[in-house]
Amino acid sequence: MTSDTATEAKPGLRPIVDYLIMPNENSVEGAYLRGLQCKSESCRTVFLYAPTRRFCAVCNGKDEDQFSTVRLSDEGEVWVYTVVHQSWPGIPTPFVGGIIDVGVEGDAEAKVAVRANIVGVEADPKNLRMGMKVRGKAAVAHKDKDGNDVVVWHFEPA
Amino acid sequence: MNNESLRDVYVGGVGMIKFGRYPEENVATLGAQAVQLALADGGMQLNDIEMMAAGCLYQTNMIGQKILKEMGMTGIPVYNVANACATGSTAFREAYFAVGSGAYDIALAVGVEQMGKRGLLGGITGDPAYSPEGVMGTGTMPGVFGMAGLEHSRQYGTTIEQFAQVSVKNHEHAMANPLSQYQVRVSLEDVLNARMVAYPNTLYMCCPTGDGAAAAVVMSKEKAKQFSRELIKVAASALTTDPYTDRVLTFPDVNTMTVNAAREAYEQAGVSPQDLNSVELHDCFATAEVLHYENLQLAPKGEAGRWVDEKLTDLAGPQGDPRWTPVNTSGGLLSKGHPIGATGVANICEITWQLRGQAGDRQVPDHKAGMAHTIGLGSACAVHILTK
Ligand SMILES: [Zn+2]
Repeated sequence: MTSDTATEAKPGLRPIVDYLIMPNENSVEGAYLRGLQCKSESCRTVFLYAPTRRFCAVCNGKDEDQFSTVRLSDEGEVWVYTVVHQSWPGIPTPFVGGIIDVGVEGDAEAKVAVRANIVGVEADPKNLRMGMKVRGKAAVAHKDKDGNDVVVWHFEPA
Repeated sequence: MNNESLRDVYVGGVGMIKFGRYPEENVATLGAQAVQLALADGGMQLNDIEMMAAGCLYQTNMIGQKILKEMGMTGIPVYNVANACATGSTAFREAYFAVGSGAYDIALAVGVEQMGKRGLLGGITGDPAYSPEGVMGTGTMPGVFGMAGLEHSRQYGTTIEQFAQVSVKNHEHAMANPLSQYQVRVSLEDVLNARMVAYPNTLYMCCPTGDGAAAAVVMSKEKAKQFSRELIKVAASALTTDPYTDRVLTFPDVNTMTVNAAREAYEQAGVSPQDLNSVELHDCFATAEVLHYENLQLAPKGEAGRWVDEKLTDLAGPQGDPRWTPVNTSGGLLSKGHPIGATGVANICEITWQLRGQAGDRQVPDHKAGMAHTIGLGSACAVHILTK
């Protein structure tokens, strides 16, 4: 959101959340969600990636090297959803907001919940089902006032 | 929390202004009116108050002192409290501790809020182009509580009609409460056909925003005997936050902290759910009320929907049934209103009036014990039990 005025960064693609990682500067190709997994053997909790997380909110782990950086699966399952018809000025409605459980690459047991839109279906409860399988992908949602293309992660029925 | 080391605390006076919209007033003038009502109710003067806890979420800065500048600057210590939707309850709890500890004999809790037509809460700060709201799900309150309701549907098959019926009931209860922001009778069809805000919560299943203030004076037993017509005891005061549960950092868990606070409150009070004659619980959305029947142990796990069908929380429900416990006799947040800082204290007012037999046409017969519950996301949950 804040650009360094000294270097005058050119507008480009800007992920809306820290845990949406974009390996390509000029394309959403290859984008994925990143997590932080607690290394404590009895914990292994996965958090959505935040560059500033130092401690584990579950086991209070506080080692210098408490977390592994993990890649989250593109595949997910809808835990719950809602169809939002009234939102803030400037936010188009209706849209389907969901809580999606996704897996963690390299750990078959681990899961983390992601808040995201469910797209590719008409925004009507009759098209949605809790437990439905979905697949996530990155997309440009809109432009911000700095001219950046804002990139989001959303899910479609698998 | 172990409350055995605290001395007993009693409610000595309560008061609230009719919730509504008062654009010509400000938070200090609204709060002062509620304080005066509580003092008059308790038969005391501002000079009798030794300590004050003031709750306000959106204009927290020195609100207690501003109230005293409106009505009498007595130089007492003032605490200003903000704790999301549990703000008023937290102020009440601070007053409870002030007396329970023995440090003060008479303390005042006041909660106030002036929201106007604020509309939606949650989900966004600033320009939507920089917010994930609407493009990566939703954090607005109607959306979050819509999802929380569907989670119950997913687990137990609770229907949209059962959620909607809660709104019908609470609006009906409010018809007997002149202090309610809305006194509008609605049918199930009205609720189901109203504009959808966030599925499954329609407009009538979402609490309104508004302005309001409520106050309660608490005191030691000696002072209560001196001032009060009847001894209303604060038998429990519990406050919890979220423990870590699956998904909680992404999807607020409105259940676990309520379960924990209720369990602790029952222990403190030595009261069982069956002993409660009425409950004021946090029905910010119709879906929420259904979940809290189970969280507060009024209904067994998974049976909240049946509780709705059998009208077990309805003032007009089956009085002779041992499971009957009227919920939100005041009209609840859905109809009475939810000026955030005032809500927790207003719940205390309603339970006090029920215990004293002063609740008019919404009076629950032979009322001996009641519960007041609030939750705020982020998170804070308060449960108080009052007995006589
Ligand atoms: Zn850990």
